[in-house]
Amino acid sequence: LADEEGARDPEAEEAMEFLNELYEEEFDEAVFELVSEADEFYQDRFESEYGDPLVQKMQAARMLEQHFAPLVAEAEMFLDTMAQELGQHNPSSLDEAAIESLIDRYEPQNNLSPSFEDFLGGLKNKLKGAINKAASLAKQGIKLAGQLGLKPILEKLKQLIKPLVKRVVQYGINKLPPALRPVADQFAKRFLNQEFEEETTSSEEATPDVSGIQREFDGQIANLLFTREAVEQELAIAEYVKEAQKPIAHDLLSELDRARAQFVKQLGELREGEDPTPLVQNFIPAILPALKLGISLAGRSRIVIFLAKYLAKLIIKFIGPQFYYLEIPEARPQVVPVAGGAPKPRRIRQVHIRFNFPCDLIQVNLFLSETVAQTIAVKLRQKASIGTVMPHLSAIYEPRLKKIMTEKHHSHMKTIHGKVPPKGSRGRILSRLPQTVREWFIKNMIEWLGKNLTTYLQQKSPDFITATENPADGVTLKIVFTNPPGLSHLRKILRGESVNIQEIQAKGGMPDANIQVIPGFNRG
Amino acid sequence: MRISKSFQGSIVVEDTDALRLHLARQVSHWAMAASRLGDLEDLAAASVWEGLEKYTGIVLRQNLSTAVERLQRQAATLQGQLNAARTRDEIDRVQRQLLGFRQHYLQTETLQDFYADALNTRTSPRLAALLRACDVLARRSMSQLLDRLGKTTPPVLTYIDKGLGASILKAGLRLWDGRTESLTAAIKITRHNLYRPTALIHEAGHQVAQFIGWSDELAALLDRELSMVSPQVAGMWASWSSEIAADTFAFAHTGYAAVSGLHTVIDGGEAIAFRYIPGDPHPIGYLRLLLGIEMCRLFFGRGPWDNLERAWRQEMDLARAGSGVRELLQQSLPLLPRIAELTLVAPMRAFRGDSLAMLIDPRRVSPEALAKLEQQGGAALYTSHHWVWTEPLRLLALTGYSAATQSDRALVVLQQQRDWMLRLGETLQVA
Repeated sequence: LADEEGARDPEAEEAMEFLNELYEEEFDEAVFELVSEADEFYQDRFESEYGDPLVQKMQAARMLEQHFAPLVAEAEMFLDTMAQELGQHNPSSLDEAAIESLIDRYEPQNNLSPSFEDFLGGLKNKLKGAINKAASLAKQGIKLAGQLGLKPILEKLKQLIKPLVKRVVQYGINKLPPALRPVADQFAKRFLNQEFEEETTSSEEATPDVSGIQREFDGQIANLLFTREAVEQELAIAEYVKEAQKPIAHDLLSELDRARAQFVKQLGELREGEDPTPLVQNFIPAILPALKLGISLAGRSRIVIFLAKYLAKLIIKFIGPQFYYLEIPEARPQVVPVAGGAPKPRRIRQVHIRFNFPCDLIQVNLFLSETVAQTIAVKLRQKASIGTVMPHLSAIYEPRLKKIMTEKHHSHMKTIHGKVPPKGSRGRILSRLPQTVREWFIKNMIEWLGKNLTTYLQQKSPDFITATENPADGVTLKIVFTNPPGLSHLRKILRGESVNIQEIQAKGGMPDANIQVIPGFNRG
Repeated sequence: MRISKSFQGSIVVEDTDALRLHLARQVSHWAMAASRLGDLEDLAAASVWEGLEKYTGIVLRQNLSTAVERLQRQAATLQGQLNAARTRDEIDRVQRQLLGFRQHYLQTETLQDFYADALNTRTSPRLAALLRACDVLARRSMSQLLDRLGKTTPPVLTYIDKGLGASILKAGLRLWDGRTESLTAAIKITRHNLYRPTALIHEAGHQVAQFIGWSDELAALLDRELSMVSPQVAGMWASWSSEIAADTFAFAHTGYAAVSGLHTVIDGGEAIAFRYIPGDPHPIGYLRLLLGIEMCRLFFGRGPWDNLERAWRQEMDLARAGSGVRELLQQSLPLLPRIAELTLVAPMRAFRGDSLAMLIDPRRVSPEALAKLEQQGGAALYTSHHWVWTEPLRLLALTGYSAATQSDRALVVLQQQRDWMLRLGETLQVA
């Protein structure tokens, strides 16, 4: 790192190295699981066409905090225990093996769900990194961490747990705090007087990368260790805590929810033959900002009128003017009964991809929620054209495939490759691929999936129907492509070998595909 | 306390103080009793509360707590008045207020006992799940109509009891203490009907009718439209409007299943079928079933209800009805198609100018529509939480229709009904 005059700053460099070391994709995955839980909880239980979305979000936030309270308690207890045990030692006297053994010995006090366990495991790794760094800084004798000892550091770290979990809750209910942006930036500005380049994730994105939560937390840990004055530590923590305590206010997404609720309600009140155009005209302006159409004011009214007429025709054509029953006003069910066991939360639709280079395979697991699976089964029982079924599937795999391949859902991808260590096997590995190669793969995988799923549903619809009659929640379509075109080139790129990109783009053909339908969720 | 020495030298308490002393003991006793009512865990075990759907549990606790808090506030006031009382008049006034408080306490206790009994019928997780399913069915039937009319649907607490017919303690009514408004609709379902609970929907119809003023409007309509035949017959039918409204509501949601379920309840011999008690809001059983059959005919055309009518008329020989009643029955029979029309398709202010059938279309539960639903859902219809959550009322209509028309499959249908209701109940998040 260089300041304005180009001089190197070893402290800043060390801090950034520490941030890079501390960052773990597994922790992102653990956070993602929690976010998914929160999202699912909110969508299933609260998000509905009826009621004030803001109120729903506030209620959901309160209940989600209760839901995650055992995790917070366990994490805080872990840090308390570590503060007691590690606090007895002089940081400079601790070696890496001793730190690791001490932390690994800790067992949770209560039974935790798998997602909570993963999160706690990630926290342990963070602590290992932080304590090692504190020990190293203590040996250098230059930072506050070395002077204060480990106990105060761990006690301050404990203060960060609740805000961290609050971030997860807010993310889950689509109410991402605006302050959630790459913390390296804030950290550098505050402590190192450095300006950093913006990371790729824009703070205005509707669904920013979940890794922002980890990066922000890491930034706070770095702050604890690298800061020079105690007051700076306190200030940074106070800001982090305060940000998490901000009440939920109306935002763009809440406004969209509100407009949608109103729209659906009014549609439900339409009489036979009544023109829905005025309703649509009212609805469109509300959704425009959220859609970010970027229409200038001059063009806006024309587009509203055009879309209103277009949508009104669609509504009458596909739904009919009589709405018997649009939405159940009660909170939707949150759990799925399990024979002989505790009820499980409902799963949302999702896609998991595995690039298995040694076996020349690409596996796509497409999970369909119970609602989607039953909708498709109805069409198959009615012998409807597969052309009417495929949109239900492509609406799931197309956007998710794109997100996974562009690293936004990177934890839903796994790579098995000789040159990729398990730690780096998640989707971020794709950043090594040239943009054109990624785009080629996305386009082709969408095409392969479309064609093969169409054939499968034409030939094996009874298998699919049988799977939907199983009481398990939803079904998984497991699609395995053997020797897919371009995979060998991808392997070379990941090995660091040079590849002719045009050669990849010239690759054509349809890989062999094996499709299985499995009742319930399956990612194996 | 004023103490004086008697002529024999012993210490006695003056009259006013003696009164005060005993009154204080009484006030303290009743205040403690009121305080104990506040512990809702004494009312029903934690596991019973946990067996309620979360929202219902919250509302019910709030409702009961409000009643008890009101009583406890009264106890505190009484205690304060006693502390301040000095004169004989003041003490007498506190004494009178204590009597009023005792009355209020007993009323509140009755209120609590009602809900305690209702809650404690959820004796096992399985029964709790089945009753939660009943809660959903009743609530859903109401919300489908009330949402359209911009009204809020109350939570429902179903409980099981002995007997033939269901009943409802409506939300919005003043409870036994005369002060607390019921926030939940408490519906009794009888044991024999647990797996064919169309009666729930009839009771939910009572709740809806009260909320929107449907019964009174229907009474006026029947009186007006039928008076040209006979003012006496018109008046009689008008007096039955609340039960007719509830039957119509159940029919609109569950079709022939509701009619068949009604038949099971009222088929208790001619004495019951022909019984007419002036002032009883229930129509004469004989006519009530035939009106349900007319509703089927109006919306579904010909069907298995034609057989039911034949059997009913054969079983219940009109000639054996009492002469006064027979005349009323004979005058009413030709009016049944018109009454079915008036209840289902006449526009009503209560429905904001629509008819009931426009808001809840009975054609959704016609035999053809139910067969289509069965074809669409296949075996998953009874196992998938998607179907049991989105279509519980039509599932009730379907299983009720199957049970009524396929007696050879009665056991299978019963099992299907039990399974999907359990699944529905287990799907809800509990408190």
